[in-house]
Amino acid sequence: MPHRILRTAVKSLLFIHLTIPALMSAQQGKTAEDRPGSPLAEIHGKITISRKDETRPASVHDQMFGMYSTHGRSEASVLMSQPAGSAGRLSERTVVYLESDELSQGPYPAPAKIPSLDQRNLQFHPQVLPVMVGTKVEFPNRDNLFHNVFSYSQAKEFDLGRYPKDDSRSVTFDRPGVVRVYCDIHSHMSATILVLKHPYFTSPDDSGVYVLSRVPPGKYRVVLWYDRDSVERKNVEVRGGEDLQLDFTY
Amino acid sequence: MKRTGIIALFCMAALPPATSAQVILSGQMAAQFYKSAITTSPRAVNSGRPSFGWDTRLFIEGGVTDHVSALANIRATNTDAITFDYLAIRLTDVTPLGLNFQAGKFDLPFGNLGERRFPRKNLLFGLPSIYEYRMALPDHFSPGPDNQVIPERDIVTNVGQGRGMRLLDLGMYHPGAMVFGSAGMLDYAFAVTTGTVSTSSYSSDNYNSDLGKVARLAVTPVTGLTIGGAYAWGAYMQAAYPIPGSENVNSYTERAAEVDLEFSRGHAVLYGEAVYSIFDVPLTTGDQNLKVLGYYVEGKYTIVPRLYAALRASGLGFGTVLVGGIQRRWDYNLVEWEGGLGYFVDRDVLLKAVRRETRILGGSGPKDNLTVLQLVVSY
Repeated sequence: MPHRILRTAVKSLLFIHLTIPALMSAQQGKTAEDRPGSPLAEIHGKITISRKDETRPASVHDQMFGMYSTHGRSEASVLMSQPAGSAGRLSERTVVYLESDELSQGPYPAPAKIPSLDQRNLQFHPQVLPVMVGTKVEFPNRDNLFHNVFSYSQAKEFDLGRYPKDDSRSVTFDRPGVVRVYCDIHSHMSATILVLKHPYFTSPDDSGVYVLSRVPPGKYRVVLWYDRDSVERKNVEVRGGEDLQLDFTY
Repeated sequence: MKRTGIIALFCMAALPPATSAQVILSGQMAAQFYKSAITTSPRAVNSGRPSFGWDTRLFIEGGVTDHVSALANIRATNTDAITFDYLAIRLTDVTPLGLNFQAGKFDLPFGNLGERRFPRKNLLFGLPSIYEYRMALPDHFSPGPDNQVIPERDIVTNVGQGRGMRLLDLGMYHPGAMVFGSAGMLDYAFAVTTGTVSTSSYSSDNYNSDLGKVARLAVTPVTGLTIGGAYAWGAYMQAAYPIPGSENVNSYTERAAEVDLEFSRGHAVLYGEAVYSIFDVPLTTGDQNLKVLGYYVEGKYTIVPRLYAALRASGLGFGTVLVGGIQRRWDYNLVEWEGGLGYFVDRDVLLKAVRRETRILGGSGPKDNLTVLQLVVSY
């Protein structure tokens, strides 16, 4: 009898010794939302932007010299049809994302669709683009003239050169950070690419409604990014399965 | 002119607060160190002494409505006082035909220099020689003892001295009125101004009874390729002094034709321009035509993000004139190379290192060079 107890105890210890580390290492390879027994939640709300529109108008240089020098019909007509300070859509200028050290660990699946930053009507669309580290972004030219997209940001330096309408170039963003994107020909054109370590980001619709879904339990800072900067941060705690409403007014 | 500019700026600032009215300011500032060779060449800068210089531009746009704006471009450098280069009211898309109109003082629609006249977009340091080099023919003279507006001997003594007109006067800003627009792949412009493309002193009043006329047509058959052409004509001589004999100041006319090209693809950009000008000069030996052909080709290649290399070749070739029974060039031909590197420290901060080599093909044949280190910021 004592032998049987001893044998059972040894077997149990051996089992624990072999299986627990294996289980733990398997668990580390999964994303937070893959973990069994951690019900996911949703953070949603409404964003209200009451600040005056600060979209940069076409530069004075473009206004002075873009008409008859060398740039051609399309540019002239676009410049004339675009009143200075014309507002962009809320969905193209606003991003909500989570900040947390825990979320940064990954790994996360690559996005199913390749995001793109269009050059259209002498503007970038969207003006703020959130992507996950390692994502390839397309830069299609939709205008009937050249653009020269470039960035000198620390997170990614690139210069795509000039290419015609309906042609595209791509860049893979392999470091997290803020990437400021410009056009070398049209100085008023600018956009921001937010390269994040995780996929917990979203853009609102044009009425300001946003939904961050499949958020695992934890403590986070919810960041509102508008145009060129983060404008508000709010601390929240997500409990398993409990949706959260969080509104922003800026 | 300065007073007019200040009044115009004041008026712009005092525009009634229409719903879309706004004033937009932007500008550029350049600081440079330069050293040229110590030569007799008119291209030598500050007699070859090592020097520091600066150049600042302020651009102002007063938006009155979506279709009406007032534009100004103010320039000041270490060698020039504050100058209102551009001061114009612009009406855009005001007719069913899509015509645009501007009046005031503006750059003539001749050539494709565009924004490259400013340090931030200038690939190198100076402008092409056709915009900067002063030829032997002046646009004003006091009559000599032989009662000629331009004494024949002065054409000879001015050769190679760099005292006369430029073929294209810097940015070619003149008071006047202009219509311009686009139709499909075509761009067109027509301007009437107080001066011609070569005259430098017509900053305010007209100095003769003629007007300068400029017509331009450009076509963009494919994206990245624009071919343009322009024709300008008008009297270039100032009637500052009584014109002797039976001559009329309007007999001193200039006719200039040019073609230009802009091509870009990928990381390469190429610009070119050629100008052929004929100046009518009544002389005692008979009416003569002073002819000149000027050109430049310049290109830029972005080697890596932030860093580019640029190179320009430009020159002037002069025709002949009969002076003292001898057929001779009315100025020495000139060939110039300018090359350099540009590095963007930041998007709006550009550092340029430029070297220019000039050869004047005549006289003592001075070989001139200029080395420049320039820092440009735009805001």
